[in-house]
Amino acid sequence: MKCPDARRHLYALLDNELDVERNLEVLGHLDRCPECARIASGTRAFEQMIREKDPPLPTPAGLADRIFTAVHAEALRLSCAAAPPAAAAPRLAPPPPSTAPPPAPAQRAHDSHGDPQHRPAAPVRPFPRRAVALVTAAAAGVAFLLTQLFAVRNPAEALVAGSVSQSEAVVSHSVPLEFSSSDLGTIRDHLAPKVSYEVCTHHDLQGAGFSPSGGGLCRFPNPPSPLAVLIQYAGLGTEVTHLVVPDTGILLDPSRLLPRCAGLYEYKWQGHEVLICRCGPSLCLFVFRSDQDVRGRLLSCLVR
Amino acid sequence: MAASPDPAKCLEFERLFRPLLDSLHRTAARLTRDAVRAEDLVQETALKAFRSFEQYEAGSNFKAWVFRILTNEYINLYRQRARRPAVVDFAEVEPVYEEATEDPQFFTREESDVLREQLTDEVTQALDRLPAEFREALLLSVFEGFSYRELSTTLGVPMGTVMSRLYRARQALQKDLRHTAEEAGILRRTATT
Repeated sequence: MKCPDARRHLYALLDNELDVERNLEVLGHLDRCPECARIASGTRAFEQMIREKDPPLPTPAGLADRIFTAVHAEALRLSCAAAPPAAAAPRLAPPPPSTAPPPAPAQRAHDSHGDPQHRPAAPVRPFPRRAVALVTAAAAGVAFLLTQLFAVRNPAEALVAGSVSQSEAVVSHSVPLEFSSSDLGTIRDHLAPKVSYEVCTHHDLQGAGFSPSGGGLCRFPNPPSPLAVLIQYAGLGTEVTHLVVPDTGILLDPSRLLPRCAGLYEYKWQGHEVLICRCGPSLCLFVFRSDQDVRGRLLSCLVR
Repeated sequence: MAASPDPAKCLEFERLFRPLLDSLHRTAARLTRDAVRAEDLVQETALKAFRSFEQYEAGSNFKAWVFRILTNEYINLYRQRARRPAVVDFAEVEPVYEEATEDPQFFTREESDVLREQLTDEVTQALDRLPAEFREALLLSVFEGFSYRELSTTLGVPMGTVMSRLYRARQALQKDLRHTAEEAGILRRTATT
């Protein structure tokens, strides 16, 4: 092998991309040729210098959470656009009875503007894109509708949805909560085109009696109040132990959470699904989903 | 028609994607040179990969598959090249590196050491001046350790084109930096290999 041949293969040699035979040829030449060996050494040093001079931008701490939040939201969107894989989803508890057939799209579109008291109590069913579009177009009306849905719940009825007592929930008021407005902004940016929601701020929490040392009660300053969510974590904040909607008295039993996807859970509640998107140890997104609609609300975002 | 997400596939996607996150972000940051755009690019890549996950063939190279999405998204979002009419396939007109007529240029170790001591942002600027196709290949190879085969899959070009782009990228980078160093008086103009 001559010098031009060896130098032509120099990069492939450094990249470990030469086959064994050619590799030996080039290395043999470098052993015999000090000038080519000097070039090989210089090239290696040059590449190292390049790596040092263009150091990587550190991955933001919350990037993974934000990305998988977006992915889970996408999974939710896809699951709403197509038939939900109810049979394939692992369940921690028997599914609630669901016997009513899905209404026709036209009927659903009609119902989305109707009296919420007349809605069927069946859990969420497949929701066609056309209906999603219709409901999206009537977003304001739907928001009002959902407000009414949650506002009219009877606390006594709602309590049957969970097995956690109020006293147990109070006992677990021990996890400090921190609230990051930047995380909210990121979520807002990522999810705004996909779901509608209300978001509370740190000031909202404080104004509602937020205690830095003992849980948080999140209230909306404007309608759809009185919706509120109290969320508590146990241990290092990796598990949801209690989910409470204080103003309605609703206690959700975490053991009834149905894993739907990575970090995404659903909870059947009086014919509606409470979708909980958990990303990492601390970030929660609650998406309340009715059997008529796919509108979501970010009720609480508590960052530990 | 979008398929309903299978829980097992959701988990599998996250299992495969999460280990690549840092590498994807590094590459996105170098491609865009902008922290916000880099995050956006990685997220769009994740979403697109998730939507297309049904098309991913289990057992094939997930890294190359995802990085191909990343580079395509980068083109769509920032390079705009794909929006221009493609008159000629770039790969078809690229000479393979064996046919390069110019004398190759290399730095000696001593010169590389001088550059390490004297240069700061000039290296990044020189990288950014590379033609886009060369730059993408070089970034993935030098900084992320992509094999030629992975580059071929990621960039959607034959292996020979990969080798050609890497060779030409490195040569162009060395010439650029040599010129910069000579202009700045860091290296003597007479210094040659």
